[in-house]
Amino acid sequence: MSADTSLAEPSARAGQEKADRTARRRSALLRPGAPWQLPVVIVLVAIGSALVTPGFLAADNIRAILITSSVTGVVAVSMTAVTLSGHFFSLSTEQTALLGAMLFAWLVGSDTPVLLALLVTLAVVALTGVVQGVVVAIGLNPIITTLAAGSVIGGLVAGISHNENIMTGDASLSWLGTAQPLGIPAVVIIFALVTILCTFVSSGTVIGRQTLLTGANSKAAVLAGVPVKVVAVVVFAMVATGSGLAGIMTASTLGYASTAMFATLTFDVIAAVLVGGTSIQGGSGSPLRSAGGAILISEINSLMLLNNVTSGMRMLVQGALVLAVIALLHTRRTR
Amino acid sequence: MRGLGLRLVDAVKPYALQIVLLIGLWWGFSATTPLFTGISSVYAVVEGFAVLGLISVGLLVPVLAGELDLSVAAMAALAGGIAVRVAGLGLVPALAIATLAGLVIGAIQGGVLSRLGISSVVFTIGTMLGLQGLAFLVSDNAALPLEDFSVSDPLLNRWSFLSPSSLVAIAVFGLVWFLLACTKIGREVYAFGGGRREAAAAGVSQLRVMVVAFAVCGGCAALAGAMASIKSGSSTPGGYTDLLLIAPAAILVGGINLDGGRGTVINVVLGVAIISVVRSGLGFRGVESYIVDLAVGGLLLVFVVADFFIQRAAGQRSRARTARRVLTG
Amino acid sequence: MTEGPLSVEVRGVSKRYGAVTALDDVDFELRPGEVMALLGQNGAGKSTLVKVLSGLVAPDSGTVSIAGAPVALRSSSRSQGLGIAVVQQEYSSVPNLTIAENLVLGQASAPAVWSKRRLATQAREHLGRVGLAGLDPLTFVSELSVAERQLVEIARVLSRDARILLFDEPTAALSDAEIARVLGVVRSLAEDGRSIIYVTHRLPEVFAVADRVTIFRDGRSLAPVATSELDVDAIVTLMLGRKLDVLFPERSETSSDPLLVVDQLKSAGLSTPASLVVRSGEILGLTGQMGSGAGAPVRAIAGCDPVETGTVTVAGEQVSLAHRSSGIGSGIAYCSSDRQLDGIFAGLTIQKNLSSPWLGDVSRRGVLSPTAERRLAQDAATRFAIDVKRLGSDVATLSGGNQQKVALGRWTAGSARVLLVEEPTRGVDVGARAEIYHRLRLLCEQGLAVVVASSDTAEVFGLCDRIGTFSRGELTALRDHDEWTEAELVRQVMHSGAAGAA
Repeated sequence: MSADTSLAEPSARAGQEKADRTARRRSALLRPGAPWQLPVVIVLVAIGSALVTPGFLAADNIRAILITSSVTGVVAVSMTAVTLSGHFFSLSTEQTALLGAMLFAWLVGSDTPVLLALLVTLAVVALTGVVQGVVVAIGLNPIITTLAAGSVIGGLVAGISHNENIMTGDASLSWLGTAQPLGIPAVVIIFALVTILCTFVSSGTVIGRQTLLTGANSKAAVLAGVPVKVVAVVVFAMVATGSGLAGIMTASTLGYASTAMFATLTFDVIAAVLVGGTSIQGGSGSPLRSAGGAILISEINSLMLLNNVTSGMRMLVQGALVLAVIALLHTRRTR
Repeated sequence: MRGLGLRLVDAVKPYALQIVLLIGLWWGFSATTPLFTGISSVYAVVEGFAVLGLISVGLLVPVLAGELDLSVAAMAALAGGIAVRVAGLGLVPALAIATLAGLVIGAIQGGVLSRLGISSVVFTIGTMLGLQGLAFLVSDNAALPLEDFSVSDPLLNRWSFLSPSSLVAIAVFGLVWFLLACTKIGREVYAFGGGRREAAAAGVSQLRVMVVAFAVCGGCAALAGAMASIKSGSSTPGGYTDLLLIAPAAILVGGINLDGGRGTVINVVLGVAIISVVRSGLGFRGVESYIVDLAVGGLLLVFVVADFFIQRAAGQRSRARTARRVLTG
Repeated sequence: MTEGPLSVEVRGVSKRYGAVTALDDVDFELRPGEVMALLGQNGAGKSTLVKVLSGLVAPDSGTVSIAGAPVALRSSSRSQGLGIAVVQQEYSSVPNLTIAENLVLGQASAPAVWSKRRLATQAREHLGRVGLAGLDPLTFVSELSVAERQLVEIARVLSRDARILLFDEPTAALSDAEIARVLGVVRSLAEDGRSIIYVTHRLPEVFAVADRVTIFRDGRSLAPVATSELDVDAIVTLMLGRKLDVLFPERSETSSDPLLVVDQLKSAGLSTPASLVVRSGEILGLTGQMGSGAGAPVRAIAGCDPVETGTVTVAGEQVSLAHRSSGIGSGIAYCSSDRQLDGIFAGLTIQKNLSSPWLGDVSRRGVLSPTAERRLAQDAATRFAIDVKRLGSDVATLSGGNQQKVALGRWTAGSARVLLVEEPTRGVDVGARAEIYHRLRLLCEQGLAVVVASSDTAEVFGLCDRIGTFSRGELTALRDHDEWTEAELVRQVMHSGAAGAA
């Protein structure tokens, strides 16, 4: 780290300083994880895959990639705030998504107006997030808290539904699965909208900035007057709401909700956030990156599926990718 | 005589809450669940040590060092697949090979963690995904059955409330206890967890501590998965996922703090016993597995929240004591 | 003292950290069996010399010889191998292990299997040497008092056959009786033939235990003098002889209204309630040694430490001391002593750092306004001489001095009326120091009341309009600047609270 003396030095040193600045800016651009790298990698993988696998860039396949990344993406984008605030991840996303799907399907199946069902479901899942946030704000490890909360939620949902499927019984909702306004599948539009919303909250609102400050240095945040406990509650409420929304999306598209759904969601979402480059220590990253991570993983999965790679191998590759990204991007800052 | 009594009380005091909880739950389940009484109940609970107990006691070591290993469940699944694959060599060699794989993989994890300085929570999520994938590969993406079921015969014995697998688990508990209480490397694990900076200043090697901690963790998880797979006759590559919650739960309910540095094998024994009582008690009532998970999750949350408040009250009292001492000397 | 080669001989050692010169062509020597006291003000170079000798820091130039032979102290294990051991304030004992285990921890020669009985026997021998023979070696370190831990630390160092011991302010948190015990052990170690360097701020201890004294001043060392040839006045004079820097801006004569009134404030670091009044446009300095409580009132007023009794009012309105955020709401700005720990947000831009306490002021109904934020940041930047073109850079790329300017500067934007600062120029080079002092004075002229808590008596003396001294958690004196001399200030800080009668 070069040490410059006073920044208000006379112009005699300005030449040297300018050279230092340019050098620093250049190295900042090239460091692993710089923002421009993710879209470039996505495009490069797409091109590479197209060369290896015919039909990869077909419109149908691209649509499929975007659709599969939408559910994971919605949750990943809403979980980014948890990671940004320094609370690692939520391990209860799959059970919360299931709760959202089941509750929504049941409400709609009981002839509740769709809008009301939507609001009630989102409110209920948000509440589960608030509870988890409060426990973490008290000081408990977020991994253990969300792990335990997840099993409680999952158990409750499975118990209440007796493990049976719940039909939405409402064909009108299946437009979500088939509608393509402007040629783009509806779920992808929702994914995009949620991404835009979360990115705006993260970088343009007071609570978003407070989240960032908490993750960058929670002690300094306290001294600057940031309500770190409130931040904890808010971020866990956000990820729970996002998970619930993902459940609603799935139930609407498929027409039913079942306890077999979302089996790998928790770790898919974590992988998406990690690959997107949001720092685990907090204070650096954005929901937009996590959206990119979800798309990249979906892209790679598609490549493997088209090449008939077995599910075990696919998992292995995903694990290896995550490990590589961790080693490259997420090593602890050395003092 | 009185001195002995006092020493006994002192020894038992740190575990008082757990002992009360264990006795209370056991009695509660015995009273309300037919069949969950006497030797059968003891057998069920002790059987729980074979898988849950082994994995938890292995997980204890990284936790004491202040780290966490979330890949234990995947390791057990992978080891199960490996053991079934090489079962043709005989029961003991198969178990030995699988356990060795666990030790080696764990050691590598510990080494990488130490060198790269990554948070173990995040890193082991990645290795979990990788090992899970390997588990599926080794088992050809399905439950792989044993070729020769007679290999598992020795494991099917039962002596009163014990079985070969629970005996092995108990033996491992003893070994881990010895490691942690009596060896230099075990005490270094405690030092590392209790004061990382001080331990490094004293000359404790971080690399050695991490490698040993994660190797033991991996080895125990592997042994557990290998024994379970051979005993049941097939590997389950997607199985053991509930252990991701239950193993840390056993450790926490047993009274161990995730910050590291404090806790003993006794804590794990008590924690595993409590969880095992809940699981087998509910199992005897014919309750579905997800309800069991719910119960364990709920128990964990309640316990951890309550414990937090108790610790804070105790901490405030001891802080006041120290402050007074510093000022008045 | 025995004759023979010097235990330690340092010649011409220099060390710079960027723009900060820690050691400037320093000479130092230590005879076998002697206790050499190291004195000097904060930042004078004592700690850096200790770090060089313990192998933690490599000097830029110069030679170090141990027992007559030149060595390269590249690492702490090399230094330990040569028989050098450091006993520091932050103890190297792990609290959750027993005394006996701590004594053996990390030693390559320790056996693989530890038997409690064998370790205890070994420990008893070492504990006896430090006067702790009656202590059960199987006690957990966490149960020991601060003084006992200090003595265990010495025992640990002895168990590694240390020939040269460096004590770095060993008695900061000890009572008189405990200090006497430690001093007794130090003397007996010297009589055993070991050589001891004793770094301290406490003059009574120097006279009680040291054979000779080496004084550090601005990174340079003076020739060692026998303790018998010195008295308190002589030492103070030698410590202060710095060339007059035009470092400090003119003080102001204020006769305006009281802005900050603190009445009978008692919190964790204070043994008796303290009261202060600071006027608008005035800088109040609070100073004392480590653990004296000088920083305690500042933290309590800011709302960081829990308060037992007392009230604080700003411009007549009472301030809630429950949280930092209520303090900010009342216009109380607080800058802590350790910017790396809790003063700056490394990884975020300078602009984000500058605006961090004032998010409410730069937003409307929860939505941030980029223009308002930029304007606030530019405002703060100009007030603290931070280049406004650099607002988008990561604050972690700045030098220590500039980071401190950001840490301080963000409190000058927004609606602060009172600024509380702890150790404002710790680890900051001379150029940035002068700027910071200048800016603090400018802030005062704009009507703020400023309180500076610092262990650097020279800084407090040069900058502040009124000065209060602390010892053992008590405010011992509070006078206008004109009623102090620098020598008197140093004497008050170092000499009071002595072992024995004052």
